[in-house]
Amino acid sequence: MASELIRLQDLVMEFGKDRVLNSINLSIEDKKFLTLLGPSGCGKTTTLRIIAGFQKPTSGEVYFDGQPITNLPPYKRQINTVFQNYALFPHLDVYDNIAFGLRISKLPEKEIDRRVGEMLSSVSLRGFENRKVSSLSGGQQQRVAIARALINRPKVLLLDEPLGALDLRLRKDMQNELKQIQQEVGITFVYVTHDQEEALSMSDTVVVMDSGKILQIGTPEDIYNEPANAFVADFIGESNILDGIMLEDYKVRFFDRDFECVDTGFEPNEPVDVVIRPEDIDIVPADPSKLCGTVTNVTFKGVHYDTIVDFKGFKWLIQTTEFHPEGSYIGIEIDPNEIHVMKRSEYSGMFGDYSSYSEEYYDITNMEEEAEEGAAE
Amino acid sequence: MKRRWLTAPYIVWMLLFTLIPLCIVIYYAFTDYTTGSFTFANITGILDYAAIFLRSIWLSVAATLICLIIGYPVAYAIAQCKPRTQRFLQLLIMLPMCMSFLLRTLAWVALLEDTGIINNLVTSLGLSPLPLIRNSGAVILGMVYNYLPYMILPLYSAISKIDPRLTEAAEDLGCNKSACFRKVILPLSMPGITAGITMVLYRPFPPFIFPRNSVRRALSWSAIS
Repeated sequence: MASELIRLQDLVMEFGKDRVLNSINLSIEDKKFLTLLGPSGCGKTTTLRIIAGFQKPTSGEVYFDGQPITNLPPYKRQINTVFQNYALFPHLDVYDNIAFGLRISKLPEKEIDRRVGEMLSSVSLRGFENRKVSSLSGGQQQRVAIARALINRPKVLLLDEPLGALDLRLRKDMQNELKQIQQEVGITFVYVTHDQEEALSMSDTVVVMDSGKILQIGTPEDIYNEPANAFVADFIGESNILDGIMLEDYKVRFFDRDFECVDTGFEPNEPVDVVIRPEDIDIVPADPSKLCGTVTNVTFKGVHYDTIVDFKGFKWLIQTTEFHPEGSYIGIEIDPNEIHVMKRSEYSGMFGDYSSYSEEYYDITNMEEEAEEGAAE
Repeated sequence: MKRRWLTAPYIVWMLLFTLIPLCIVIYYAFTDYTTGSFTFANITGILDYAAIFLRSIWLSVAATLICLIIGYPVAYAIAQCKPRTQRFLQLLIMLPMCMSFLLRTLAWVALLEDTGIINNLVTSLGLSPLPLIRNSGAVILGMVYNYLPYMILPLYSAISKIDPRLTEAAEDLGCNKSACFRKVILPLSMPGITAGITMVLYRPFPPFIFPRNSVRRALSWSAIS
């Protein structure tokens, strides 16, 4: 069975008065693909840099294979990093970049040649040995960066938003490739990203972070289907988040209606957040026994229609393959399995209403993220 | 491309003040000063000055090396500071360059002279004055002092351009601090080293005479330049 390889214990990181990490506890299992996911400035990169050894935490301890390594310099750790924007050595060609780590450990030149050759094949860069790194495309530089790190046969590979600079198509290809590489070499990957889709499709374990805290740790399915709070629900995919009251086990009330659900363990009449994913809602003909509303906006998205429905002033996003024109009065049905009840948190009431829905919501969020990225650099 | 005629003034300028004077120099190099007939005497005559040439080359090389040895750590240290501090230190390095070369040299003369500030101090202690001026050491000191900024600035600009993530990458791949310097920082600051050496090495050739000879010589030389 998988065993623990890295443990972060009560990590606190302060820059001046800024508390960037607030008591991070995390256990990273051997040979797994773990992703730190969160918005810019949530502390995910700082966590990664502490594992790599570039930064010392203000307090707390990092354990590697049971041994504390908090004060060990980076060059003594069996950990290698793929940097954001790659950080390839501009004065060396592709071959020398990849061979760098082996030359430092003074391996015989014959052995180096064999391993660089192997590595070049596995990242499909044969024939590029003597190219200048500046003459390579983003995707090729990415592969050199991965090869340069993996050739040292580390126990852990850290990846800091490695696909951030690539275009969408290339990013998808590289996602598959990275996952494949991880399974082939059979080592632990710790991956940092703010792209939830990337996190869900590649990881064995996702760690959702915000403002220096871990909000949820779980498999991609857990995180998506059972978000711990309104922030996670909103950050991972699209969600309608409503105020509700948990009347008793298996019964939740919102919009003055009682709904059956599968959640238990709340106080009677406890106020809760209710999450319903847009794709889990079925549109049915209007009927007084159902929750009914008016369609205010429809956008074709290729696979489905984004349908915004107004229920007594609260707008929901519903994703369906059927078309319901603007202005039509419709009812909805929700399967008890698809109603997720969450404890109230500091994030309650901040997310989940689609009143400000715009047809370009994807573009807008992407642009914001890019602007933040720019500012962070 | 279309506006090629715009380069005309530059071409005329180069012809008048670079190409033609060069031709004149070449002409005089191979003709006799009085008769105007063809001769190699001027070329073979260089040998008479060989000793002086070699000494000035040696002094230049020595001064350049000293500039590099002092300048590199200074430039490296500046590049590690906060941006504000960097700008301030850069200003400090450039400040002496705003002052006249002559004044700076005269200040050194005032310090180093047999009856200068340092030797006055020495003699007041009852010792005999030190030979501080009119020797190779004084020449090198003067050159290092005057040309150090020309070494530091290109070095600083090359070092400050090195992405700090590259040193992190090197450490990540197994380099300790000294290997990191040898394998990454030094090769990447090579352009700055070359630029610094070029600027300092060729610069001292003309004024190799300065504090070695009398103040008056230095004065007259500076007046010409």
